[in-house]
Amino acid sequence: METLVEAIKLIADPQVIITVLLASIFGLFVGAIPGLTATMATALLVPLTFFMDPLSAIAAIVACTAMAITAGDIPGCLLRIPGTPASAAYTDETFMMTKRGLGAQALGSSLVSSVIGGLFGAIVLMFAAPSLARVAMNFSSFEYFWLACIGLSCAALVSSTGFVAGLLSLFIGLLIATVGMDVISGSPRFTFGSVQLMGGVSFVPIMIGMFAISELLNSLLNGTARQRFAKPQKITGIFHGILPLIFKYRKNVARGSIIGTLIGVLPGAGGDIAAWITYATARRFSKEPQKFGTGHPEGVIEAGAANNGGLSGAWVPALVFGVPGDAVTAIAVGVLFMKGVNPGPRLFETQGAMLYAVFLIFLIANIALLPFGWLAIRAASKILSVPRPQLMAVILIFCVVGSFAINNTVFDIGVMLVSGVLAFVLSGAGIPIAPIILGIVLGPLLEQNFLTSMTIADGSLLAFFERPVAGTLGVFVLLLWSIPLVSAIMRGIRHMSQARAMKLT
Amino acid sequence: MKLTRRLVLAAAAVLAVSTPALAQYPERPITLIVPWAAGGGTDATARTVATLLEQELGKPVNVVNRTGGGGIVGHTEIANAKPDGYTLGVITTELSLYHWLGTSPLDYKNYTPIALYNTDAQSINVRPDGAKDLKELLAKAKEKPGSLKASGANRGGAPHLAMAGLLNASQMPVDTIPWVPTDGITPALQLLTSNAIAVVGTTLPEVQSMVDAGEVKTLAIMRAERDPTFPNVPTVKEAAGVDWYLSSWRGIAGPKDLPADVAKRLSEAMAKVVEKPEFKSFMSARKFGMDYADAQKFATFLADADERFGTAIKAAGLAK
Amino acid sequence: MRKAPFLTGAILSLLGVGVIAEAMRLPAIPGQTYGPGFFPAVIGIGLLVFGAIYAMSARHPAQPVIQLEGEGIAPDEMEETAPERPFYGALASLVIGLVATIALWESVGFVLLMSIVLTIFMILLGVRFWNAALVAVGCTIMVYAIFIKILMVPLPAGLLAPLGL
Repeated sequence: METLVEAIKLIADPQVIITVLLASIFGLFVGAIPGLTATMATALLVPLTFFMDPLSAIAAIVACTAMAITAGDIPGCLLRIPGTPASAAYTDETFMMTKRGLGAQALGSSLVSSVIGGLFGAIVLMFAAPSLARVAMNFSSFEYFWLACIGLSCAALVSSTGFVAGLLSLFIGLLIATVGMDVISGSPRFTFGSVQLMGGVSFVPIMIGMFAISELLNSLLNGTARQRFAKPQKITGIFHGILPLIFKYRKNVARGSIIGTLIGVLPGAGGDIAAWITYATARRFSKEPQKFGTGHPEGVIEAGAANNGGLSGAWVPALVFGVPGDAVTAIAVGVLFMKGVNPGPRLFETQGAMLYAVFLIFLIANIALLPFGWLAIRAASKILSVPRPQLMAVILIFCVVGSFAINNTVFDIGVMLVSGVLAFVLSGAGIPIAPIILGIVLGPLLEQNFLTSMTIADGSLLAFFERPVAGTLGVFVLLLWSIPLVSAIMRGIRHMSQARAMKLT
Repeated sequence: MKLTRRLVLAAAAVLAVSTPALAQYPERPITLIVPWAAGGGTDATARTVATLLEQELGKPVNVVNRTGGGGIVGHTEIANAKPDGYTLGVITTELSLYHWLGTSPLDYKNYTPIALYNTDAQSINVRPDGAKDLKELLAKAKEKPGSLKASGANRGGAPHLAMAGLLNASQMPVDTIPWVPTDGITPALQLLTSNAIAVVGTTLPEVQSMVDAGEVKTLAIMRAERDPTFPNVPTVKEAAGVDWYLSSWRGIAGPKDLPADVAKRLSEAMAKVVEKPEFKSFMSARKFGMDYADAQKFATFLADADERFGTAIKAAGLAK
Repeated sequence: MRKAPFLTGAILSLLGVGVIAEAMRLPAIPGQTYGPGFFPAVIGIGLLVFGAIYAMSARHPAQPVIQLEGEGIAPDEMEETAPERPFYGALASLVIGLVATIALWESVGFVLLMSIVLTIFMILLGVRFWNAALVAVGCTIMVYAIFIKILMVPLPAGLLAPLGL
């Protein structure tokens, strides 16, 4: 209790409050620009933190990331330019809602559920960080492999166009992920002698191309390029439009927050796959799964909660063991060291007030998301009233600079163009795009953990079942896969016997 | 019509600017290319150096991250830049590896070294319940080759080569302690704490938090003498009587054939930068090893590093 | 038979064969049962098999056409106005413009390139010249300023470098 009072005193400092405000605005701004990532926003903040006191520095990073991640959903929803691998899970869903004039509602409900998820994650971080971190550090490549398999199973669930098309799309994504120097063996694969391809194909330009550019191509070819981009947006108040929706889907919010935080705790993969898994669970347990993919908020709400829950989760191993969960926390850990706040279990014992102040900043940053985010959403929705040709020009320019900015190389603009054409052709042939993105996200996770495990176990596949957690996860995955397979075979047999019966008559 | 005239004017102006007189270098902003992503360790050091170098030179020094290809893209760009002193870069350990591994023909001879500002020695780490010291670890490994596995980076990464070099110097085949390749240090540490492998090789700052947490213990550091930042960690020679040292390094360099006066000006500026309190406090806060070498010593260092990494790569059987 | 899915399935299936062939050429790594070629081979087989299934299923006219929910065109069909003819000109300008952007990025520079590309693109969509040029130049300069000054992204100045932008 005493530490808490002390912590509150620490953050009541006007410098801290002003820093949080400015960092939030900066995060919102960078996040809302299509193609720019939260990582970039955080990296840009680092030189400024040199001149801040430790608490302000950490507060700035925390506030900026939370804002940037949430604001990253805005261009995805309004213009079909997703900002993060996580948001690609529900970009099409929110974009459909925008087309129906419900863009602000989609963003608003994902904002509110993000805030709830983020708060839940922050509270878990406060009370359970050391023990959760210990669990996370007991996850070896064997457990990660099964986790990646669970993630892959989502491909079948996120694509609304059928099993085979979804799988085909997933394999394309996995193939794209193998391009470049293989980290495990160091041998270049599918690089065709290009130095640029050695490091693999960057994720952001592919995503921009596959969603935004293919959408532009599509509207030019089907002759809708001069018509309204979307129906006029209905902007309802946050209280009578959005809170009832959140209440209706409260189960989704709860499930998303829990799954998101737990998966987020695992370094390496957490944040990115949490949104995909929760979007899939939302669909699996929904009363109206047929509405998914047509502009239905249920999955968006669950995945939104998971997204921000995962963000807080990633700080667990970072604070307890100095082991960052993702690029953003890696930067943050650097800042912590710089400021003499060394992560480690001792941080929880010795610097109590400081640590609680950081936790309070988490809570404040997540609550501040609500007004700031809402203002940003309302302002951003105005962009849809721009006439279609001009709007398309604006989209194009952001696609170009967004693709360029990720590695500062013009090669990535080429990647964007090629991906755009590819996605346009594929979706014309009935193959969905979202599983490609999932494949790119999960490919390295799946392959590296498989190969790492096999090197450890000298090639014995049984090793995947020898560790208790891995064994449990493995059995779960096998069950998960056998259900649709068995039912597909049953259906096939029934179909065949029916066909034969028809021929007989 | 107007547009064409503007274009011609503009083009003429470009030509005028691109023949600079090197009277008082620098006359305009300098670009510092970093071959690694924003937010990483190299990026953090580069941004600090850039800020301080700017104070010394009186012209902006802009950090530009050119990532991709395991650093090859950025390193190539530095080597291919115009040698006028307005495009410099941070070169890193990987430069000592490319030509041995056959991933790129680049080596240190493609650059004009300006200053080395950081080295971090590789180290050997185990679980607290693992081997008592390096001698015991090597003895255990020799007794039952292949039973202890090590990790810390990808195949051909500096930690892998450090381990291969150590085994080689101890007269053991490199597969006595097989290397489990991972994508970076985090998964390797997880493998260690979850009891899937027995040894992690990496630089000391990377494991510091885990050591403080009592989850990992450092057996030895691959330095010629003990590191003043970590006075309790013995060198490999002290711990096991094997003469082997290997460090990851970072330094500032320009393309080959930088004019002598430009190189001199930069080298002098860097000598002042590494003495600044801001630089020192940054490096010690992040626990980056402060090791400065001027242009000439940096050149010698690069030649030595190239040879040592070559030995390790050949030992690991990765040489092309 | 539906042509596009059949062709796409067939091409992906062939791609699978190519991937398998390339995967076989990747080196084996001593000490590793599964080398760098293992995963590409699995992916190749996946593409080969599922591409073929997809192509075959497209040949069955009896099967109901898969409705593409969530993939683009559906809401446009709800529009009260009928779609116009395809904008082949604008489409070509988009693709050629992007290729030109990639080729001339450093030499011509961001502001000039994007202004021209976007102006042509909008004109071909029926926007009047002055309107198009104004929007294109305005947006480009604004984006350039933000990226250079605030976000530290080195967009190339190109031919306009002497103006000290």
